[in-house]
Amino acid sequence: MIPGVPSPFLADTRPYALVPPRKKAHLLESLIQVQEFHAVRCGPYGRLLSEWRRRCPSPSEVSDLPYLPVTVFKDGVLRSASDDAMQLNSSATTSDRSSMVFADRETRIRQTTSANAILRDFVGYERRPYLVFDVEATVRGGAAMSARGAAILGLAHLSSEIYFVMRQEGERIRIDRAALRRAIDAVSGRPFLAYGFTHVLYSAHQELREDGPWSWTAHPGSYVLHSGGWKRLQAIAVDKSRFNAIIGGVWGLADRNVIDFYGVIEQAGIPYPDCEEGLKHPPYWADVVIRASDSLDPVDEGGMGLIQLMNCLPLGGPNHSVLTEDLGELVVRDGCRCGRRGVGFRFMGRAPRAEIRGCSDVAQRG
Amino acid sequence: MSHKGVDMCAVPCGDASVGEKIRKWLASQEKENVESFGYPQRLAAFHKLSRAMLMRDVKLDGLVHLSGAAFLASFLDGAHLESLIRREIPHTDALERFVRIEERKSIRLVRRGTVCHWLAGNVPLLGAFSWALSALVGNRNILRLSSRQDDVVTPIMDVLSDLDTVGRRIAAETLVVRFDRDDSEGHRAMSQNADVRIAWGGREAIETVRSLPCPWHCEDVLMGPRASIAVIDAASITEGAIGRLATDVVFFDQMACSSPQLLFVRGRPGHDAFDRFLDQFSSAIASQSGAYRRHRLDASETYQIELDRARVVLSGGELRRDANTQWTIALVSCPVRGVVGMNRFVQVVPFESFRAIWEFFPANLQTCIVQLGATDLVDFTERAALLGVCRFPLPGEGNHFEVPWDGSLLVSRFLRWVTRTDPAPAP
Repeated sequence: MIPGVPSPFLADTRPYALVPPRKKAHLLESLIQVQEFHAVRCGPYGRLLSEWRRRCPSPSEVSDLPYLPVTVFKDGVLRSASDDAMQLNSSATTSDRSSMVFADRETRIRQTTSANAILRDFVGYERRPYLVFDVEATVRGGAAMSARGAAILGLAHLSSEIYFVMRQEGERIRIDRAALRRAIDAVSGRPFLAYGFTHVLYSAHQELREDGPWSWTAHPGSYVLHSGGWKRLQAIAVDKSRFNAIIGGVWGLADRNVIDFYGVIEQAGIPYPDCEEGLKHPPYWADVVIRASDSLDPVDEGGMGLIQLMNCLPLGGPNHSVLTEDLGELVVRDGCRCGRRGVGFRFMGRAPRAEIRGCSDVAQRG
Repeated sequence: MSHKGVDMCAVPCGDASVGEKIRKWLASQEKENVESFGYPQRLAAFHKLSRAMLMRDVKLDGLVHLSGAAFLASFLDGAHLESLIRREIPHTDALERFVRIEERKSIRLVRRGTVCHWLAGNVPLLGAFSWALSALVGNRNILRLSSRQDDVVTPIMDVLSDLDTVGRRIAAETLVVRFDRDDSEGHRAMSQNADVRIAWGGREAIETVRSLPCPWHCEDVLMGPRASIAVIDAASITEGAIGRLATDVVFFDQMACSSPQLLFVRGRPGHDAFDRFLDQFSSAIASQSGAYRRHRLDASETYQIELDRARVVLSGGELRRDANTQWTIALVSCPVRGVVGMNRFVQVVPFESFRAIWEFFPANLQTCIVQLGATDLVDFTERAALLGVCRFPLPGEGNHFEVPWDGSLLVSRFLRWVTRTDPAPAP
């Protein structure tokens, strides 16, 4: 336990069980404790907090708290933990730089506890065989870990045994049929869990379909989870329904057993799986604010804008409250038919890059 | 859109290809006597257009809100246009006939032909300046607008063609085409018919135009992408000039290459002159941000503002800003790496000696607004010109289009310069 930062987890309380007023009271206090923790350990963040306080000295809502745009984690090191904290690296998709966020031991414990609680709420509590549509090397990061590696390991605590079913072939990773066959034999009709980055999972299943008939029906209690975004699939005109049909079709699973979850490396430990209504919900130790695209004011139900994510887990660096470059829609403040309390939002994708306007240019260093 | 005999394509060219429109229009132009109106008549027509714009012709209602519309009206004033022409062309009679410039040498200035203008998104009126100068010296013009932009040109053509036969002729010699930035066929069709290509825009837009095939003789005039700054002595600038400097920042939302992104202010934070400047500048930016309408920010622009703000504070700078995303003044000891400075976001860098700021001058510098004492002005501008500055206007004039622009003459590039050696005088 870190002095001044109590655990954000409440005893005997399921992740989505708190009614909004209780959640707000708990979260506001916890987040303020976390930001104070970082303010004294990370000088630049302390400056940001001071600047914010000049404008908002008495926050009464979670949305009154400061945030950092995620890109600043690509600019340089923002760390509150000691040098031996593990470094998590995002996949550098739209720029040639990846984010650097740090997770010390306490943070990793919190992240694991958090991810387990969230995912169990969706896939159940029993441990199952875990099929990973990736290569084992992805999780062997040493002092640094990729977003893919972190996501794979985030689910490992729900597993009874782990099977990596892909192999490296030059620059590509491809399905390893022998490994997959061994995994299926070991699963032996039990419900299992599978995970892959969205585009990796898709290409693996396309390969399975193209390589010949594939007839193996999974236990109906099995789940295939994926994350990492739709950008590459949108480029080849594959939408969510087609994706679900292809993945579910291979295993004979219903659409609802193919679960897309959203997450960013800066908020590791907080996956946002789709509920049965197609919405994403933050647990009581995290929250989401959708901010209007022009003013950044929090939107009302039905409003769209930039997604701000916050949670009480990170102690390695001040990545507890971040403004993402992603767009979302606030669908409900509370009362989703899935039964989960609090905000329900829909992920809309990455905000399009600014259209080049005018004849102005960024000042270039001489 | 077709009106009053003017063959225009001011709607997205979805039904017929842009190339087809251009070919038909050029064919119709060939049938006309394009030399029928000379420079004096054209100058008079533009002067009338200027009056009509200043009198708020009802057809221009849609333009009233547009940044720069009032300036365009005064730009088109006959006396102003003539002064610009004379900066480049001492013998304007040469636009009509051969004019003797030496004892046995005469010169004649002939229009180049078809000038194609790619207008900048969000500041399309900048393209109207180049169109006016090109048309004034007799060229045909094709103006390309993005299919996502409002058509700000056609209302001007409507007014022009209503003025008189000369105005109608100039409007008829102008084709407005609208097509998407990804329409490579449209870009190519324009470029292949260009005698002069003039591109206004950011890096991507300019490079797109440069990469298009064009006739071998085609002249390229590239306006942008550039960055601009201001260098101010806090002790000598008046409150009025501070207000005008704020206008330079706010006016085009810093989308124009002439909009200052960095302000170097002589003085020290905590000292009266500097603090007074910062207070008055902040007030002026705040009030003008409310007064001047701007485009609705999209998510990526908003995100960039927040990112710039965070970068400034994380690196030790201070912010003066509104509660949302209207404006930001960042007080920094040196320009913060990565900060874009767009949409009313300006970095203020205090300095005491010019020596301390040369290293921060952008490599792609265009305008440096200056407010300095007389001696400083001479010393500073001599050195800064060598570092790439193209113009040193006063506060309030930063966005006033003028020639030369971007360090180059403009009107003379819309013309072919023809010489004639005259026979020796009879003995």
